[in-house]
Amino acid sequence: MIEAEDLTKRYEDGVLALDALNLSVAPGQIYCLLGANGAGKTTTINLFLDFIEPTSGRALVNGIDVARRPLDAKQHIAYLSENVMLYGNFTARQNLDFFARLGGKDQLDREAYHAVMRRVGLPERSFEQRVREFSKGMRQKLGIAICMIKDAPALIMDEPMSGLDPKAAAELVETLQELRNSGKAILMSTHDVFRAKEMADLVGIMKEGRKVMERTREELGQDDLEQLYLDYMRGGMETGVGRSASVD
Amino acid sequence: MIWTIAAKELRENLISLRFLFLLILALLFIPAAIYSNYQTYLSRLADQAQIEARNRSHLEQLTPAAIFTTPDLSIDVYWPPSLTSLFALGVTAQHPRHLAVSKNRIEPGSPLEMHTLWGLFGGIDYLYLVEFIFSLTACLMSFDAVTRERERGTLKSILANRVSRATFATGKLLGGLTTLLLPLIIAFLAGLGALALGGLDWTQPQFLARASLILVASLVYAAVFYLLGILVSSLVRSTSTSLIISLTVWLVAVLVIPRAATLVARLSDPVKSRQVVWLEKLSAEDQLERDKGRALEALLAQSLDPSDYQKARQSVVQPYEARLSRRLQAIDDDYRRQLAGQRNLSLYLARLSPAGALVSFVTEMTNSGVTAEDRFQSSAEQYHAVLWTELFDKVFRDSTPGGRVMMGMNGAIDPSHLPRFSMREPSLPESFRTADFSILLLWLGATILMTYLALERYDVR
Repeated sequence: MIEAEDLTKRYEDGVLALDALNLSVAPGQIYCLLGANGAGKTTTINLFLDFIEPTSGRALVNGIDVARRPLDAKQHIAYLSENVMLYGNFTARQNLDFFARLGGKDQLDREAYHAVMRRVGLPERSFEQRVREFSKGMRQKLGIAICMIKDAPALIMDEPMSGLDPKAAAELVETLQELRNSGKAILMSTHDVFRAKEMADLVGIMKEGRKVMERTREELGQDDLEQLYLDYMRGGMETGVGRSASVD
Repeated sequence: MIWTIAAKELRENLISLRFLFLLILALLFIPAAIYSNYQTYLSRLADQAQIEARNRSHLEQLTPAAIFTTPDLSIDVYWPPSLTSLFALGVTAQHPRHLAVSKNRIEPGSPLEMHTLWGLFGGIDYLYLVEFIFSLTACLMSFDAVTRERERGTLKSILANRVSRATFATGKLLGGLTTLLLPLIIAFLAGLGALALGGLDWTQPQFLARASLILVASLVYAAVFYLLGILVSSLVRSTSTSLIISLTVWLVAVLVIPRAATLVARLSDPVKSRQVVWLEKLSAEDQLERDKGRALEALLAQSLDPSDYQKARQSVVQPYEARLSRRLQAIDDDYRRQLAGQRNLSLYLARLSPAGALVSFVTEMTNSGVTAEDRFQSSAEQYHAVLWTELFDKVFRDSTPGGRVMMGMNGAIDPSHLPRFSMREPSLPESFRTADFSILLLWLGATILMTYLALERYDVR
């Protein structure tokens, strides 16, 4: 569903932000991209959303090359950004309604919006409340509701758990697992190693634009993901230990 | 998609404080300015009627004896106020609307109105409100249109959908412009309502057509500044930078270019003052009067009876009067040529800015622009030619350096049949051609195109 084929991005200033990335997320899988700031996680996400053009390689969503047919590809993507701010002067339902229409759902009634907000755990009183009064956790939940209402087969999330308190993060994980179980392919970048291990079917560690390790949940087994991550970050396991290329 | 984005933009703007501010500003000032200038129009009509009545009474009492005892006989002509000038006073706010036509010259008449505070602080008319206040408000409504979406992450969220940048731009423009233009249209209609309350039938086709064109030009002008704000917002990363650049753009487009145009024109094409021209004409007149007097000296010494003198003087004075007429005409032509050159250069340069283009368009449509000023001057000259034939040339007062004076008449004068001054108002197509709407449209097209290009290349990260 979500695939990168030798996806490379070199910026105008010569910086190689992403170096021949290969990855694949099948329906019903959560893929967590781990890595320090500047490792290339957000660049990868930006390439899947056509926010930037690849220097070479392809980003594919549902078999559609994003760079060639961006609008068709984005029909199959729901996106959640790191800091979901939304329109502060609009109520939760109004925000949901706007993004639902952009996602092609323009026949939904008020109850449909309420149902999806209930599903992500937003309290009833907040449905008609202005979003500027929401906590970060509530905004993230609304962001998930926006993704859910689009009902796209692929979900791409950029640091969705950043800044959430443990309870909100746990609720988000639960929701993402539900989405995975309903057959969505989820690609997300995160710094949260524990949550990644908890929910990911695949984990990729990125460093300086390259994927230096990729493991399935089974391959990780009882391994200490945090230790693995730190080892890669320190450079000690640059080659040899991790599956530094693709799992394909 | 376009309508979804446009509706969001509209809703977001309608509940913003900026929109409330704009609406209040428009509803307070536009009807007030239109109504106030309607009162000015009425008072100018009264001035015109008063001057015409004074002229009539003056002419009726103009016996030959009175003509001889009034060496500086002059008839006042008044710039007939145009009803549409209630939208823009234009040059009539500063320039004389009242000329005194005498035998050898046409001079500014004595002032009729005292607007000392207007001179100090400037008056307000509809054109001023649109040119300055609405353009600034338009910029302030759009300077963060794109940067704000980027900063709160909604730009990414929108473009992560099946929404092209062109669709985003179109929706944004449609929604934003509707919010901006709606108060202007409502306030304009409220202004017309105020006129109706003041007793004016604004449904007259000529007035309505001109008013509609003025409104359309205002909407285009406000749209240009709204687009400039979005354009700046699409070229920078932060809202604060966008605000600074947008205000600078507004400052240059509205305040700097039109005034700099006048400055450049004055420096590159200097024109002597009206006072200097007046003195030149006076000097030419004195010189030729002296020459004529010397030429008539011998004739006056013959102590001819008045009718013989009158016949004999014709051949003597005719060359001098023709020379004087040519000389005065040459001074006037030279001055007007210089003035027109300077003015045209200033206008061409000023119209490089949307503010200059708007002022030029609206003042032409309201007959208060430079073309109307020229028309008033040339109408006064035509009237002067008529008065010359019918009045001034029929009276003479010869004096010699030796102090001898002879007065007389070349023919009968019928003051009651002297024609009244009139000035033809241009037709709507004539005004529209002169007004040149294309510059504003060019600005609109250019800003739309540049906004689309900038958004197409905008780095949404």
